[in-house]
Amino acid sequence: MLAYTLRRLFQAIPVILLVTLIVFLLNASIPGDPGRIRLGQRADPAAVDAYNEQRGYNDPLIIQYGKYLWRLFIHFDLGESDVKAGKSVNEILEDAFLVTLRLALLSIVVALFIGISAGVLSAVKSRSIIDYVSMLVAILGVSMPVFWLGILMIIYVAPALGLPRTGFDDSSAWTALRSLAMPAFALGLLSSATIARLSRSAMLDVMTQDYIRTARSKGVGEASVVLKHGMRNAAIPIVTVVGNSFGYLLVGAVLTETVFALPGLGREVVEAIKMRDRELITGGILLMSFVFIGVNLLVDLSYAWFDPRIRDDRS
Amino acid sequence: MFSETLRFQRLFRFTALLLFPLLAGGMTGCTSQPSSSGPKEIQSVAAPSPENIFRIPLMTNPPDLDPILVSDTTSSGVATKLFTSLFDYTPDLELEPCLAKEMPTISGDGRVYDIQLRDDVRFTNGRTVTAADMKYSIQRLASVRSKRTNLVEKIVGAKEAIAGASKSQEVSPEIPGIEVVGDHSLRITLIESSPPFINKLAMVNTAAVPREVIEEIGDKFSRNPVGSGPFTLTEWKEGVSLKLTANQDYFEGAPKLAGIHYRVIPEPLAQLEEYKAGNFDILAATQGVYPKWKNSNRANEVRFWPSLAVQYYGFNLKKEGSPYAGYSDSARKLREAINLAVDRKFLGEVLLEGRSYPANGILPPGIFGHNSERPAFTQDVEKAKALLAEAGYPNGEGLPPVDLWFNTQGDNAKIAQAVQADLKKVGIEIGLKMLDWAAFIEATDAGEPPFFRLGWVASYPDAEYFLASLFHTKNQGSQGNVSFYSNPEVDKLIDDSYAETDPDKRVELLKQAESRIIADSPWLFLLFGQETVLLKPYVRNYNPTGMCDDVQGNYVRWHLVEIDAGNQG
Repeated sequence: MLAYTLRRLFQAIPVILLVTLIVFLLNASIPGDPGRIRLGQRADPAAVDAYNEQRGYNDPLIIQYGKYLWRLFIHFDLGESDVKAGKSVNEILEDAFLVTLRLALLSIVVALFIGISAGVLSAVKSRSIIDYVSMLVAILGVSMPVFWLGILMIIYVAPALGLPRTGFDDSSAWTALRSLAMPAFALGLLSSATIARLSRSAMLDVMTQDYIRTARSKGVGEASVVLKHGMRNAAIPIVTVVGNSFGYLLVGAVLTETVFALPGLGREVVEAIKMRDRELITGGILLMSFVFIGVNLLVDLSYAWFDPRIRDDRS
Repeated sequence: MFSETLRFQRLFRFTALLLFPLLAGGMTGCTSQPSSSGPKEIQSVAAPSPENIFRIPLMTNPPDLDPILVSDTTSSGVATKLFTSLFDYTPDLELEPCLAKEMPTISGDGRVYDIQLRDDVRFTNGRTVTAADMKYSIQRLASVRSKRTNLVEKIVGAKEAIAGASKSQEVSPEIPGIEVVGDHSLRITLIESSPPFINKLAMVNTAAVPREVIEEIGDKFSRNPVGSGPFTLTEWKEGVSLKLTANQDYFEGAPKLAGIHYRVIPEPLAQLEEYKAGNFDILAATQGVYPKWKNSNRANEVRFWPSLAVQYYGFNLKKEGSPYAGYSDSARKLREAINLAVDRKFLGEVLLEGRSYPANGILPPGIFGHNSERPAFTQDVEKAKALLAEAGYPNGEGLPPVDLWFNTQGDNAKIAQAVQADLKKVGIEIGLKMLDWAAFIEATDAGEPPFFRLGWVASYPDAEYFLASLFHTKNQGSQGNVSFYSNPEVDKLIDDSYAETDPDKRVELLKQAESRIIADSPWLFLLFGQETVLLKPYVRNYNPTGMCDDVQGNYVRWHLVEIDAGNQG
């Protein structure tokens, strides 16, 4: 298992390097002079040039890229924001990522709880009213734009449940949980729809296998058949979709963060793009990419845990 | 507090809307119910903060609070509560002393300003504000990090300081034209007479900052500002909230509010819900809100005032291949035809729901030099068609189409579509090209678009700020004149206005310049703006000026604003 993990980590290195190169080149090619952005639209051209010189933006791209990689991999330094004076990109992204991480974790708990329960129940009670209702809700969930759901929840659900409508208060664990409850539910509900549909089909497939019939014929209780024999074997496709969902929740929650006014990673990066905060854009997208690569790695490793044959095949 | 019934009703509505998105159109109707007679009923809680806090929503996090970096309305709105400058504006936009003890003594040639400072003003770190602080603070504008070097360039030695600072990285480069004459006495010498200069000493960018704090924390000053204003920043959660606490030692008297709290909520609908729930005291009345509230039981919460802003579509007069470029008779008539083809009344009253109104020129009301006698531009389709024919393009035949460029913000797209439709009626075809702000402004500075949408908001209420920046030949390109307009007669009138110290004669020169520019039609003169907000009925002494951007409250006397808890509407 260790060798497999190390090999997967090693394989991630060229991917990470390629991502840094692509992000760096894309960022350098978008219009908007960083000096002019920092110093303002009507800034003195000499001052703009001096700023660009000081920040190294006048250097050839290859030099800029080399310096960036050096700072990134040797010092873990993503640079200084071009827009927020006195703020390092590391600081900004750390704060934003912690918010998004908490949101994503809470959302995935919601998604797993609703999605797997509905999916398994639908599979076990296939073609029953429970199945139809669960899948109808799942279709609605998949079709519902999070923006719309979020606004509805702000207007109707928050006051009814006495939850804060918007904003993020992390002065205590309880206030943070309350702030995240609505956005996590909105995000989780949407992901749960996909998980429910997939769980249902995976479980339907598994539940017709010979070993399930064998287990039943041996007198194993239905709960044990479903939970122990059925779910473990249906887990791999579910884990794949959960892993992907979690990755998307971490990097793609920008609409939810905007509607509920959460200072998360997606919102921070979108703002940075609007303001052409070059260092923050590069840092933010890199962080998102690393997170996605990391989540995929964990998903791959979990396959090996769920199904030892995968580990054996690859070692 | 919601009763169980109300909670159930809300959840029922939520479920209904969730399951039947087709009912979406009814969402807003659910929150405001038409009564059988009279105004619409809007449910809105009027509950002031028990802690005597004024609560303001922000769309974005303010990027910077260091005065030399403030260049956007959000940062400016917060910074004006933390810092004070030498001068300030009355609600009628008259200049008056602030950190200065009195209005300055100006030499006969208009170049030397002698300013006496008050000796009872303290920074919030307890130290007295002196003339040396003012010199240090104004000189910082010449540094390489400053966003507003243009504010000091008229001072003797400033241009050299700016050029030198580009290389030296000096934080407050020496400007010989700023002299400390005594502890509380300052002299500023200009290269030439410039009557509008004094306005720059009322801007937050020239506010007093304590040298020792900047020397200690450097760039972090922008996140930990120390000033001498009515409030002090006590907490800033980036992207979430800012908390300002009353400065009890404020030299004009302790504020009546205990503090001001900002919360960053990017989504206007979410802001509106928070306002209705009683969690904000003020709200920008954006699309859909202003007309609805104006005709409701909550009309008393609607406040509006004219803003010192103009919205225009500029022609690039230097654009090769554009039939609208240059000063030929044909190009002038084409531009004039476009000015006559557009229905500005429709744009202002219908499309923008009364939040803007037709312009009558370049200078909006409230600006020193505004001509109130000139009628607003109106639509005259027949005359536009006639001019089009005279320009050599009868019914638009043979007229090459150009693109109108605009950025993604606000109502730009729908205004552009309406203008496009109006122009089509007279036979002029235009395409529409939308870019995000950074790409758009880089293109306009470089003179790429043949026809583009921009606005101009007064940093100070003087005609010079509009006419010189936007039309003087020396300011072509990134300095503001992105129409690349050039008229020696206009340049001379503007230059002469600098030398003129008699305000009446100066305003006459500037009015002539404006008329001359309008005759050349370098713009499609569109709309003047109006700020519209909702303000809770219990707020007292909130008196905005034309310089006040919606909820930001720049130049509001914040130490006088109070909450009358007894009046809850």
